[in-house]
Amino acid sequence: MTSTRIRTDWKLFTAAMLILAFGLVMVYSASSVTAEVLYKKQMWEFAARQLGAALLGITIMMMLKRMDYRKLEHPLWVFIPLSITIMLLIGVILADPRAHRWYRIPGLGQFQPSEIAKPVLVIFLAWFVAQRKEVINSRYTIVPTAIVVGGLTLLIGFGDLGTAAIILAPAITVFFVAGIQQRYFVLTLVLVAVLGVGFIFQKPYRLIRVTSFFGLTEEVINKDPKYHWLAARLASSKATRDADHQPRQAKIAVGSGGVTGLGLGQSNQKLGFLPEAHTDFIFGVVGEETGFIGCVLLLTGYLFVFWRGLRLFWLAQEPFGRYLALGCVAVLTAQALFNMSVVLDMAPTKGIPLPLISYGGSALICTLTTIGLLMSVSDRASG
Amino acid sequence: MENPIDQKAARRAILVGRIAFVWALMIVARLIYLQVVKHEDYVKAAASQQLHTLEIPAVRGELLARDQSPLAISIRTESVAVNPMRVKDPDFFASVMAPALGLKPEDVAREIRQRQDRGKKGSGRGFLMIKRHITAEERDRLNFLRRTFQFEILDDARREYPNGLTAAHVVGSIDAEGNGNAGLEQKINEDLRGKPGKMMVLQGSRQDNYVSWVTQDSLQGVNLTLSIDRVIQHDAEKFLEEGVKASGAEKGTVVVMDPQTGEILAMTNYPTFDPRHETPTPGEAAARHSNIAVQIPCEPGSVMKMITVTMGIDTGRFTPETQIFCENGAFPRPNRKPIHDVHRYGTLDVAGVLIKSSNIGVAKISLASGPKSLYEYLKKFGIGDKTGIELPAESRGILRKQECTSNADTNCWTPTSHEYIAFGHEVGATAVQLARAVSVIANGGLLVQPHLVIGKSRPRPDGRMEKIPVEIKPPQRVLRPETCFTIRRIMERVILEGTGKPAAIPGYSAGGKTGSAEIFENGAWQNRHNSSFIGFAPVTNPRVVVVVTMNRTPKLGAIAAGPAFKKVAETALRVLQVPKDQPETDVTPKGPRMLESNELPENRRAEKKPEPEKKQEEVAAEPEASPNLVGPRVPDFRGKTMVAVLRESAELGLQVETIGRGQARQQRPAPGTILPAGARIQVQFSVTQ
Repeated sequence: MTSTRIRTDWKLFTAAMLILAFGLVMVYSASSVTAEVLYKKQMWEFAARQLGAALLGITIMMMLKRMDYRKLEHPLWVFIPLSITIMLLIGVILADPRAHRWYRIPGLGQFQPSEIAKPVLVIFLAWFVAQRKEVINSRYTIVPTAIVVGGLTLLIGFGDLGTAAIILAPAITVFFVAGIQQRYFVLTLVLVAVLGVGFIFQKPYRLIRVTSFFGLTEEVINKDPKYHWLAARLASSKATRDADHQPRQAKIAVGSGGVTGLGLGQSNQKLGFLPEAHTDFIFGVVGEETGFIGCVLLLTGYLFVFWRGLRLFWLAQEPFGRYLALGCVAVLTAQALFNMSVVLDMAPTKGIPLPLISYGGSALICTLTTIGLLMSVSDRASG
Repeated sequence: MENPIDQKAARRAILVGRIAFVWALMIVARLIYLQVVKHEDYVKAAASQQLHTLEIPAVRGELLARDQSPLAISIRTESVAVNPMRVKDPDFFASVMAPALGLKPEDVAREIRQRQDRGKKGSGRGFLMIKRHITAEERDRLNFLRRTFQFEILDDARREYPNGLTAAHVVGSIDAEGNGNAGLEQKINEDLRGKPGKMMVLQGSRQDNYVSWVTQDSLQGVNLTLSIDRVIQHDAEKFLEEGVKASGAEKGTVVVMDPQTGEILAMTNYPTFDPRHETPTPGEAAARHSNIAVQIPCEPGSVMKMITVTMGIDTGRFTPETQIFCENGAFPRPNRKPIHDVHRYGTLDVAGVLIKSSNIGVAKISLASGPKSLYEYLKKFGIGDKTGIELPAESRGILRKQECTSNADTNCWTPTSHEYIAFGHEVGATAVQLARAVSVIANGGLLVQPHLVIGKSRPRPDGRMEKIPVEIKPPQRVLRPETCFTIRRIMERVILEGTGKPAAIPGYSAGGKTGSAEIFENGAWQNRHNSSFIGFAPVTNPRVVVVVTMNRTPKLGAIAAGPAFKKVAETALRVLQVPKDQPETDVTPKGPRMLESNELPENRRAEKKPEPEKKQEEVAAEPEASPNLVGPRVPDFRGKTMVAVLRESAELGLQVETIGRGQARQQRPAPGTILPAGARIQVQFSVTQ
């Protein structure tokens, strides 16, 4: 391996920073009312925390950018973070007995270990594919890998099905591009589908969100004897009530924005109507305040990052870099598109943050870490 | 390149890119659908949950007395209501809410249960007013409970009647919904209430308001200034009650009116009610809605003779001196009972007929003039027509048509009606109508419109008051002034020498007419009368017209109604500062009047015994009581400083006892009196110690 000239991909950097800056503005806009009314805090509280996380995340990103990503192609760099992540994920199930999602750190807020899993898994996948290119389809290698990926997914999916689905996106992409045999691929998809259905039935709120996405709201289920088996499952929880509330409010937010939007800070849906307005449903506020133009610009920004990352598949010097870049853009883009689809009621409601925009410290830091990895590859690519 | 790209892998990577691109295109399509195609629908959906129309309450107008003192004002308050259907556990709800509002938990819980039970049967409403007009402390306590329970705090207004029962029947009262249900409150409800405005509010999901803007200004209620004089009104109420009790009547009414303008200075009925009671007590319930002065006509009796005699003189058929033979008390009528007089009279002149109140005399005047003429004059005096006063349910009185349309028509005069109407039978008038009729005589022949409202103004949003003109029908000339003057002189004699003696007002000339109509009920005469007294004072230029009616009293005419007339008229004249035009012959001399002259009445000097210890007033009033009549006269120290007082007293050689400091205010004995030997002058200064 020869050391290559470092050339920063300013286009990628600028795009990511623009999205991040836009995200900070949107968090401030969407969270100010919630902070003041619901949490009795200063209206800039959430925005300030997000800014802090952004600064920390950018620092990590710049460090990774300077670091040669090829150092990571070593089992220690792959397995130590992986095992730490798995430990944290097991720990969170015990530490957060209700949602199995967050560690609560006094004074700092919450910390979501499943976010760490995203870059860690991406590195693992890239390493695995690069190392075992030839034997990727060997039973002896695919099974342990499947166990690692599957196990990770299961652990996350236990508490957070959305993130689990996002975790699978780079895995499937990387394996698919690397040329996994069709039978394994189909088998994986079937397995994912079965597990997904299982997880959906595990929690009534997931079930009702999915059924109401297909038009089976609670009313319909309770009325029609055909769905008694569903009703029995749903009756065990209060969370099922008014399950289409979130997508309906999100659609009102986006729809009332129109072409040009109501203007920054002018959203009315954020006044308590749109649930999770500053986190998972922030795209609704984006749609309301900046309208169709803003939404399309944001979408274009993500696609631009996606394109800058995907082209590294051809430009990167060696397989590890290629698959690292591929995994990074896959996880970023999948999150962005899936989140938008949820907000626009094209997919069942799942708690997936919009990368670089949604409020959430651990998610933002991990997203910036992912971009840092991407830039590390990009800086050292040829052409 | 040391690590060539697998072409197949590259193609699959391109496929991944295409999938992402197609997904993004679908999102764009969805965005177009939501933000462009369905934009209007979602704007409407957003508005329906975010924007709320609030009512800007209009403050009910105030009712002010003549001197701008408030008779009825509105105070903004808040009330607590709940939807009983949404209360899950009435006991828990009541046990928390009731103590915060100072109510009994059991009562609240029971009310909610009742409403819930009714709701199950389908007849319930989702509204229960828990407490109206909560205090500020209760409001604070409720703020803590707002998150726990679903209840509403509604804007409300409480009507205050600062003068209590004063002018209750004029002012009226309002019901729980803020609409008037009696008096002016009812009649002018629309004006008083104003019109609520509208306001749009941007509300969050927790009913927290963010932005609001007015879409329609509220129209505030009109403030009314009434012609009611608080003092006259108060005294009229007091004297009416005294009069009703003294005469053994059941009900009574007093109307005091300015004859020149038709302004009602006082109007009261007995029994009365307390407008402050939102739901009247059982005793008040009937009284609240029976304003006798306006709503209930009664046979005026002899009072009506005033009109008959006026007709006789105004038409020129009679003069006050025209002699009428009064048949010695029984006037035989063909095929009917004779008309009787209370006392037997031989020949009386027309003035005497009115003064002695002879039924036979007026019947003869009426016979001579004919029914058409009588009907015409009744109409001139406004009998049988509504006065148009601003009070609800006004009666037009009882006056049948003079001409019959057919034989079957019963609502008209019989060929003999005019004989009886001449002395006030077969006819009915309210007290206000009588007051208007007397005013015609009092003001020199003008029919005025009795009214209560003399000023209207409406507060505008910018804080200024907008004057609203009050429309009053201009007075109509119905009689010649000379006739009125003649009648006034005759009516003065009614009080001086006739039936109206108990109504004489000390210090003022007054004219009046008594009336008593026996009540015929259930086929029998009840030995109960509607006794009334109508009158005016002073005679030369009447400033006030007073009508007093006592219903169902065993006493007749002026004996029942006269004293009340006298007292009310006295108050009214005093309040209106009308100069006295008669010597007060029956008033015993008072002390201060004696004090004005320094001369002592010679004849009384010896009668008085010496009284060494006297109080200040007595000493001042009766200085002649002092045994030493040649002592020094007490100088006037009032208003002087202490130094001046001491210097002056030293010069005169008088002993002074000072109390306090500052300026001299009171002194004992009073200035001008003769100081008993060895006595001191006590001077009270302004600042007491």
